[in-house]
Amino acid sequence: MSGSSDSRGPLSSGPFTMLGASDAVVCEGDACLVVPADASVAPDDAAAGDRPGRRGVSR
Amino acid sequence: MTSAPATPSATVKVDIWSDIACPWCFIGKRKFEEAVRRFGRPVEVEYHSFELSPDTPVDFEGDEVDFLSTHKGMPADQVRGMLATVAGIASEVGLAYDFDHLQHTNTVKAHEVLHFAKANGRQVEMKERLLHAYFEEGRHVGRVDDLVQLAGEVGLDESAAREALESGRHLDDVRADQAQAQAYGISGVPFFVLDGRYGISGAQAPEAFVQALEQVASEATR
Repeated sequence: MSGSSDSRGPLSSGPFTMLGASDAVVCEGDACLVVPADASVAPDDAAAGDRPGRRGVSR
Repeated sequence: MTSAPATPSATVKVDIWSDIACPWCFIGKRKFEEAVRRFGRPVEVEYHSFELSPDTPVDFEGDEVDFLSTHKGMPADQVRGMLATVAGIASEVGLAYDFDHLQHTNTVKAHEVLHFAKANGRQVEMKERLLHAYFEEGRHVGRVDDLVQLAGEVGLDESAAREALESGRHLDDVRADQAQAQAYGISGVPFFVLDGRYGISGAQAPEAFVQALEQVASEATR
């Protein structure tokens, strides 16, 4: 994995086609430490959509 | 007519919006790195600025429990439970989050030093150094002096870093990243953009990243 040399110019205007689980954990707003009681990161070998989401909740 | 030969070594560009004070960003970074290792082909990464809490004071006196309980009105016991949960999840990917010593701060200067590092070819190293310093070492990442030292630790010129931070040379770069995120509708981080066409939100499992990288790579060789 390398750092960018910024050689490809600006990104497209979007919107993007979204890939992966739609409900993976993110930080939103000014915090992201409130997680569901059953929160856990999916196992490394799990498929993206195999498990329910674990989205962080803004405090 | 024959199709063009496959070029399995074609580099996949990944733009990542994230913050330093973002536990899922560090966890997601480890998941993504594992995916890149499994993918096995060149991946070029560029980090972009996203401030989750721009109104946080640089010199907040207190730890994460204090911040959440006093500023957000959450019961301290509940905060401790939340932190323990997140630290446990971080440990699953080999990260040793130390919320007892974490120094809550504003991250705009940290984003400026990331842009300084990018301009000097060390952004990936600087990003890792900042996250490690913040979550695992209890280092302060909001003050110029601390950031200059961290910049030096990844091989950047400290005097040049200080000049860049004190002059605010890269503040416009930070704001441009944030404006781009807003234009894209990015409301949460980490957020990954692959080859400028595909978006992935959150600390996904490595397999999800691998699948996305392979999809992008396969389309690039058609």
